[in-house]
Amino acid sequence: MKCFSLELKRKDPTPLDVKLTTSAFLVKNGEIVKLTGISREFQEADIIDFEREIGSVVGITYNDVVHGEASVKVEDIELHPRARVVKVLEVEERLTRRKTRYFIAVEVLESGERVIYSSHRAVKSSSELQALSKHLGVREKALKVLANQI
Amino acid sequence: MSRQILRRDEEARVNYAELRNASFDELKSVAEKMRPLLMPKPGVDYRVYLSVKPSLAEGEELVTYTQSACPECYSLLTAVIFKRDGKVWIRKVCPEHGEFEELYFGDADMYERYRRYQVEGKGNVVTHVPLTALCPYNCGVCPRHKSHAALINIVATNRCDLSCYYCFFFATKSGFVYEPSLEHIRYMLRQARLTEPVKAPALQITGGEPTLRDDLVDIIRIAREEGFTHVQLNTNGIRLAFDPELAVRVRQAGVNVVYMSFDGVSPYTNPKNHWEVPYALDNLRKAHLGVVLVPTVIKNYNLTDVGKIIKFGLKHNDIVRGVNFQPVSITGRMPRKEREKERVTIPDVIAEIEKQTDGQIRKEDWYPVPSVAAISRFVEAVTGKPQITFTTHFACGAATYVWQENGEIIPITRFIHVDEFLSFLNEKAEEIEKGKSRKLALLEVVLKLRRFVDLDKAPRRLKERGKLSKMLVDIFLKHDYKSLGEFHYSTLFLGMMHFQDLYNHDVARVSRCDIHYVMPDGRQVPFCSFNVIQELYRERAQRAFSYTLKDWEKITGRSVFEDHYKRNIRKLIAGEAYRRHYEGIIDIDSIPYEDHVTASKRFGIPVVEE
Repeated sequence: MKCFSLELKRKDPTPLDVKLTTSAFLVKNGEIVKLTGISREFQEADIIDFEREIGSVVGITYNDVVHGEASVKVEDIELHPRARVVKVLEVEERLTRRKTRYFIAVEVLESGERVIYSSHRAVKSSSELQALSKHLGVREKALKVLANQI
Repeated sequence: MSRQILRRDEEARVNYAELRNASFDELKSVAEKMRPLLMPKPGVDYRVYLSVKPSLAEGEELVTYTQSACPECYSLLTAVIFKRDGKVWIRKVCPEHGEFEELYFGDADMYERYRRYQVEGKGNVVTHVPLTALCPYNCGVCPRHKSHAALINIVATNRCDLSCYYCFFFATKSGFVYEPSLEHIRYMLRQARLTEPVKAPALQITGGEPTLRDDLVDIIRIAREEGFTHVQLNTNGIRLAFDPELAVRVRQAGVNVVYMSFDGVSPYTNPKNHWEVPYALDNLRKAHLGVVLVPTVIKNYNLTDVGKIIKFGLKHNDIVRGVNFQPVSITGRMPRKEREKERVTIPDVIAEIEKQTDGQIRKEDWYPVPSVAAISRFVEAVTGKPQITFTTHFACGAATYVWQENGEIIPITRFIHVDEFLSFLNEKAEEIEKGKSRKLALLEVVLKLRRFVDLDKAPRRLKERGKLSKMLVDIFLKHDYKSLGEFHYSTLFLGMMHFQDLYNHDVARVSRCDIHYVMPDGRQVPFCSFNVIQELYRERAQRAFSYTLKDWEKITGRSVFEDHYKRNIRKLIAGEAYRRHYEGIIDIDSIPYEDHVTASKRFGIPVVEE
C-alpha cells in the first residue's frame, strides 16, 4: 500500500502553498494501530495511484504538482490480504492557515485494494467519524482520539 | 444483447440498426459493456513521455509547466508555458515528432489579471468512470476532474444540411450516421444528471444539424423530463429560416435560447448562413425565442468583423440575447506558418473589439469566466446548498454585458463596480462560512448593493422604476433562474470561449472544463477532450453506435446526401428581411451578385437559381 506526502508551492493557476501528510492505521479487533513503511521518492509509475487518492479526494492532481515547486514522497507499507486500513490525509493550506482532514478506509485484497469509505472535498460532513466507525467496526471514540493525535 | 456488440479489426461497434428500437434497459446494458472497450488504450492510442522537459530560451520567462498531447500521435508530453514579447506561449517536445510551439494567450498582462480570478472547483463525488489512466485519457468524467459540468452537450445527429470544408464530423464525410434513438438519448441525459453534489442544469442539443431530426421536439421534451432547466439549441439556422413553425414548436417544447452560428456580417466573412440569418431571426422573433450569435473567429478571415458583429447584435437586441465569440480551434494537423495565419486568442479578439468599437468596449470591461464564482460562493453560503460554480480555467473564457443607448455602447463596468462587488460577496461568504448569521449577511448585501452601482451612468431602461436595483435584489433574495433571465433580457451578453486544439492543448484547462459532452456509452467527456482528441472520444464513440450509410438509407428510404442544402441567393437577397437586418451594418448594394455566389460555392454550399 502506498501513502503519499507532499509539499507544493505554486502560483498558477491559483496560489497554493500546501503540505499534505498521510498517516495509515491498521484496524484489528476494533482497535487501531499506526502503520509505518519504507519511504522513497515519487516516480512516474506512482502517478495514477497518486491521482486516485490525492487527486480524487483532496483535488490536488499530478498536473498541479508540475505547476509548482513540489516534493512528493511515497511510503510503501506491506500488508496482508483482508487487512483493513484507515488512512488520514491531513492538508495544511499555509496561505489560509486552514487544516482539513480526509479519511479513506481501505480493505486489502489478493488482487489490490478496495476503498470502503472515503471523504471528498465537495462534501462537508459532521457525521463522518460516525460513518467511518460503522464501516470499519471501530468505536467512534477511538477514531476521535486518532483524529486528534495527528 | 451481447450479440449486438461486434468486433471488427479490434474496433468495438454495435449494430445500431438492431438497437434502434431497444428499450432503455437494453441500451443501458449495451452502453455499459461498450464503455471499457472504447476507453483510450495506453501504448496503443497514446504513449507517455513526461520526462522530456522543454527548455526555455533567452528572453523567455517561465509561467508554469503542465502536460499536453502531441498533435501528431497524442502522446502525453510535459509542456512549458512561458512569456515572450508580452504574450504567453506553450511549447512541448515529442521524442517522435519534435518540438511544437504555439501562442497560448495573446496578452501576458491580461493573463496575469485573469489569473487573479481563478477559483478551484470541488469536483464530483459521483462520477462515471474509475480512475485508471492519466488525464486526459480517462475522461468520462473521472474522479479527479476539478469542476462540475455547467453545460452538457448532446449530439442529436451527425447528419448536416451543410458540408463546410473544414468540418470532419458530418455523416457524408465520416461515412456513417450517428443518430441515437429517443430512448438512447434519455439514457445519455440520465447519465449526465448522475453527478453529485451538483447536477448540470443546462443542456445544449447539437449536431451535425439537430433541426434535421423530425423528432427534435421529443428530444427537448425528454431533456425537460430528465431535469434540465435550461435547454439551448445549437443550429446553423437554415431550417429556422424557412420554417416559422419550427421556431414555435421548439420554443413550446422547452428551448430557452438558440445558439446560432454567425461568423460575420458579409457574404465574404459568413458564407455559412449570411443569407438565411435575417429570416431565421424574424422567425425566432415571432416565436419569442431569443438567440445567441456564435462567431468562430479566425485571424485572416473574419477578425475584421468582430465590431460589426456586436453592432449587428445590438441592432437586433430585441431578439439577440448575446454574442459568444469563439477564437478558432484548429482542426486537424496544420503546419506552423499556416496556423499563424489563423490563430487568435481571447486577448487578440478583445483588443480588436476595442479598436473596432472606437474604445467603447475596452479590454478592462471583460472578466474571465471564474470571476463570477464569487456570486455562487455567496449564494451557497446563504442557502447551504451546493451551487453551480463556474470554475473553468481563466484562459478558457471571458464575458461582459453591454447596453446601447443613443448609439452609445455602455458596458456593465461603467456603472457597476464589479471588482469591489465581487470582493464584497467573497467577504460576506467567508463571514457566513465562519459562523455569521446567514440572514444578517444577506440583509447586509441587499442593503449595500446600491454602493456598487452608479445609477447616473446606467442605461435609462435600467434606471426606470428602480429596475436595476430590483433585479439585483431578486437575484440575491430569490437566486432563481427567472431573476437571472430578467437580467439577460435587458442586455446584450458578450462572451468569449476559446476551445482548445492539439497545438495549444493544456491538461490544466481540460481538468477544469465545465462544458461536457455526454456520449452514447454513457461517459461524460470535457469539450476539449471530446473534440480535440476526437479520434479517441467523439469519433470512436459515435462510430461505435452508428448506422452504416446503407443501413440508414434502407431504414429511412433517404440518402444522407439528400439532406444537403442548396441556396437560392437571388431570392434571399431580394427579401425585405435581408435588407432590414443588414442595413446600416454593411453596404448591401456594393456586393455584386457574383460575389455572393462565389462566396457560397467556395465554402461548399451550392447555389440554385430556381
